[in-house]
Amino acid sequence: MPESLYAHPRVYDVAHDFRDYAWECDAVLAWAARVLGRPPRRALEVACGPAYHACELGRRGLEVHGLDLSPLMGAYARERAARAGVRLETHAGDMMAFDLADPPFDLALCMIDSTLHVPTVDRMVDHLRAVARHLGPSGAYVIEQNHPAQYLGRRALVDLEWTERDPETGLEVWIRYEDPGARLDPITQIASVTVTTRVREPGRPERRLVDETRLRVWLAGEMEAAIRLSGAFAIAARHADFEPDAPFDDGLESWRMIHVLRKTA
Amino acid sequence: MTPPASPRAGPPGDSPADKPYNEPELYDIAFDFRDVPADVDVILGWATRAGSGRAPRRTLELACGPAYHTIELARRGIAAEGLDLTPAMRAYAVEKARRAGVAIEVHGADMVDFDLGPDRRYDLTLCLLESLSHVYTLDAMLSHLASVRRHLVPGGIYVTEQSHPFDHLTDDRPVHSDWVRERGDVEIETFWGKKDDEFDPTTQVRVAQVEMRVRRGGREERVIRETCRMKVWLAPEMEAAIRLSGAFEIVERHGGWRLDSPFDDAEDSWRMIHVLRAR
Repeated sequence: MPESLYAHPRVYDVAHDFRDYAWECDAVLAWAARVLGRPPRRALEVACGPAYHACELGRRGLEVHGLDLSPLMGAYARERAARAGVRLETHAGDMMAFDLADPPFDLALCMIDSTLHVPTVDRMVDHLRAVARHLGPSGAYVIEQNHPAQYLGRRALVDLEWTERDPETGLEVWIRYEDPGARLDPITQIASVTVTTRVREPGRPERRLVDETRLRVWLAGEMEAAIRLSGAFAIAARHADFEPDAPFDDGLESWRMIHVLRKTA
Repeated sequence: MTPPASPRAGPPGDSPADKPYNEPELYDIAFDFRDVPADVDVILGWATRAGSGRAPRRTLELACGPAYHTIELARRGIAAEGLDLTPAMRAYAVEKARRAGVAIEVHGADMVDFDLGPDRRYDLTLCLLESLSHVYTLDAMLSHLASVRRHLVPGGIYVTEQSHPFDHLTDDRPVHSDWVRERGDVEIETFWGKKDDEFDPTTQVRVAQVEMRVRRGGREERVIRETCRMKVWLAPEMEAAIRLSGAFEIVERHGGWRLDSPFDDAEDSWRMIHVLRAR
């Protein structure tokens, strides 16, 4: 039985470290400042994985925390941040039910479509309430998901297969996500997909990692209803790109569904 | 004659300017493809089952158009009423019922927000085909559900029919359809939606291009072209909206017009039907 990608945080990191996280954080900080009326100081990245965004925010002087289900991933993210000179505090916990003893944050973020792991409207409500409990008054929550055109209208907006190489170690990762849009149960909006990873490393035999995973596709209409059902947030803004004033539409530059929420209760 | 596998139409909804809705007789011919008595058997079965064994005595069909089902309910001795936004359609439905030997009342109102007065309380309301695609936003849906709830007796039933999410979330079934119906010497070929319809996945609204080709005695008499804005409602979104309304509980969901039609992604599951009970 092949091992799981999630048991190999460094491989996961190399495969996913290709976005412009500095540019994305410019927008996240601008959005958060609009909600808060001031720049955010303490941020929590939920389902953080290697915590790309939290790490970048830490570089900019914010106090940063990461939450991930996997303690292994948390430890990896902490070390990765430390190498960049950032102190990242990590917590092992489920994004749909977590309880941290820390004082309230003023910004929470959930990036790169981690909500694919939230299976139902009920669980989304649990998730939103859990995040809201960890925010101070008028705290901001930024959720980034796939753009609905990926599923409704079926425009290919993201790559599902690619190769990344870490120039320092020579570690090379090829990864392929089966298209959830093509395997979707149209009623539950859940797709069972296989994620296949091949790892090449100097001086080691090639390794293959396989994950069977159930991903829940979230669309705009039901997000609005779930946010309202949570009673915890209001939608401050929606965007389809990491530009502070990018509209949420189906334009040529549109490729993500980003909700900027303001805590209301 | 090929009845549509998946009729995309909404009967009269929000937009009285939509020409097909202002051509009630043509519309009536084009959409006369259902086995209405069989549908009504099923609806009454669901309503009786969900209403703890009590058969409905007074009904209201929302966005009723030519009132196919309301006329059938009236034939069975039920006090059946309709509601529609388009005056021409209302007049047509009343006259059609009269010709069928029954009297129905059809109210002029917008299904998103209506108040027919304190004496109008029903034990069953219906919204069929895809009229709910004319409810474009979550707020409009909440207002609609609240309006329906206000007109139901305690424990009253609301049956809604919408397109199956399969049509929108997979490549397997086209969202556009065309079909031919005839009555007397009139033959109508209807195209409801086309391949290149505008669709915005952020609002989930499609602008369906509608074309009705009317032939009389084998000669093309006229072509009606119009666009129709239709909001795609998906299953978890409906569930969340219904819960948010606080007005209803979901008693049953069905994928077709049989008393027990599982709502799943099997081949013969082709509609999204909710049986709701007033809270």
